[in-house]
Amino acid sequence: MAVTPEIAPVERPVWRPWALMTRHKSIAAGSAIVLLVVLMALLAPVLSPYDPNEVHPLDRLKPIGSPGYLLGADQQGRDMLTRLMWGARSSLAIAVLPLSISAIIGLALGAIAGYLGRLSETLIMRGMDVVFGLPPILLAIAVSATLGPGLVNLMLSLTIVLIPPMTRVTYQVVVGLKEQAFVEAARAAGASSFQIIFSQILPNSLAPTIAYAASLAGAMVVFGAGISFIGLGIQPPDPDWGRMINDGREVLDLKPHVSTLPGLAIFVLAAGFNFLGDGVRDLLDPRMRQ
Amino acid sequence: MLQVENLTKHYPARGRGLFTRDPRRVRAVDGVSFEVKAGEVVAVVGESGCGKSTLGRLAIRLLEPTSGSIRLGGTDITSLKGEALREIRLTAQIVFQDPFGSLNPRMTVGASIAYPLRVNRLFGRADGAAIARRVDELLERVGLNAAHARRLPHELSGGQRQRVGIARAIAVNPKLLVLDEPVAALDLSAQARVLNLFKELQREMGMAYLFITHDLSVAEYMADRILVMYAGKLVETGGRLALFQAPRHPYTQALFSAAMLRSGRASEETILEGDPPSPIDPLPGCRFNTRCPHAGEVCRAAEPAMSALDDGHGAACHLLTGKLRRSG
Repeated sequence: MAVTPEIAPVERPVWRPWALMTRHKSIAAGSAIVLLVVLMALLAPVLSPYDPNEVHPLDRLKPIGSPGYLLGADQQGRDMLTRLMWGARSSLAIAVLPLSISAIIGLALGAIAGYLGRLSETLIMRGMDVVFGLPPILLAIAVSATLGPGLVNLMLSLTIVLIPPMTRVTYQVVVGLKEQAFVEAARAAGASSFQIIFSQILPNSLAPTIAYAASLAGAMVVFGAGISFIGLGIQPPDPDWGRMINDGREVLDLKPHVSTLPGLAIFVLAAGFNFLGDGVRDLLDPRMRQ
Repeated sequence: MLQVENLTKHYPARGRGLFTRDPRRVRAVDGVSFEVKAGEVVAVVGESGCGKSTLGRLAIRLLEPTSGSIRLGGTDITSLKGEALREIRLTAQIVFQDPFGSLNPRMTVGASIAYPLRVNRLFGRADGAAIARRVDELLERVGLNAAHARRLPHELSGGQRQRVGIARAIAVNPKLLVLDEPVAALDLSAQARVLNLFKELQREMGMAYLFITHDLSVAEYMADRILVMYAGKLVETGGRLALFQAPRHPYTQALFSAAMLRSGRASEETILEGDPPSPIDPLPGCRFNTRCPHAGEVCRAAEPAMSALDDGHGAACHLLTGKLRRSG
């Protein structure tokens, strides 16, 4: 018989970023904001009018719009615009690096616990439960306080806070995948557990984990700023948005711009990441596809 | 080819918890023995939940048996592990029921078919061209064509996907194929075409099939011999003709009466009352005694052994051992 069924022409998905943007408005809005902040951070050495730590004692607390100080100056007469541009660097690093590193670790641990089960599952998942039991803020504060302040240690503590949720999300996806017939089919084909994790499990659990990580980026901006605000993150005089809010605390009622501007910057970047994260989630979730 | 002795698979009745120990067991497959000869098509029939799919997976060690022994091509494979267990995949393969779930949605059809060739390193380390040629050949063998290799599963119809599953299973040239309800998810016309493909492949490659189905007309079309399962036990085995013309076990008689009525080989259909017994710690005696029209005292007390009838035909019923007289 050897019937050859006709092959219907199928439209293949083509990578067209522009169509993607117009169809998913939240991706467009989110990437515009994030791109702007990234450019600001990268071009800070070129664009910023001053050195971020350059003090001008005579220009202390200049208001927004003063000549030479487009967005005013803080108590030490440092230019706000300059410090906001430089401060974007740590905010971006805090939003992106701990998430990426914890996502990689979470994928590995979740895939091992979910697919191999048994002892690895008990050890990994119960271990994660212990870390999960601690409030994340408290854990981040404890780790930062133990390791000492600084950008690297702040990112390390955020990574530790993020590993349990990343592992759990991956684990749940993997436990569902393990029951799928195509995983049994791979076993029937003669693949080892290691081969199955790499060829069947990970490619199919990547999208949900990335979507989850993307949805957390906005929260991480706020979270990291909070740690710096209480003095456990970026140390003075280096510019950081959370740190800057703290600097303006004492003059909040008289000169609100010193705290409000970095607060606004945090808000805008967090909103940008949230738009982007929502868009990425919708895009990666097969149920949302038309 | 395949010899199965007294094969048993018990599951804990409930998931094992940290503080709970439930000693009860679900007896999915309970003391089943049979043989599949080289090149033979053996159908396993029975209601859903009778353990036939479990039996198929046990036979090629996709599941761990609780007890019993399995010999494949003369080797005892009952307790193989790791590398040695993976080697039997070159001899025995399986086609799954669900053509949607059994293909990785992110792998192209070609990659799915090449997968068993790659993991078993059948073509040198990086001989992509040889693998691609073999994939094209397999696609054409199952009635698709080389262009399908670049497609993703969701671009294909159910029948086409099942053909991909078949190509993947025969890629390593196995001697035995377990077919787990391979046409149950397909529409009737696709069913007929896929069944014919199975017949062709079997003729050309001389494979033996363990064909699991709930559809008696499929079993009648495909099988040389038939095994009838009920509640985890084998109740009757025999050649296709013997079973369809003279079924001896009351369960087989009832099961086949519908099919035989349709083809005019029986005058009335036996309708079974009730449901199969719970597979959790079943009562003593014959599993079928709760629904059997002939059941007597002995059926509730003792489990009937398989009695040999003529020519490889056998049934497990007290009517055949003389311990029970037919009523009515």
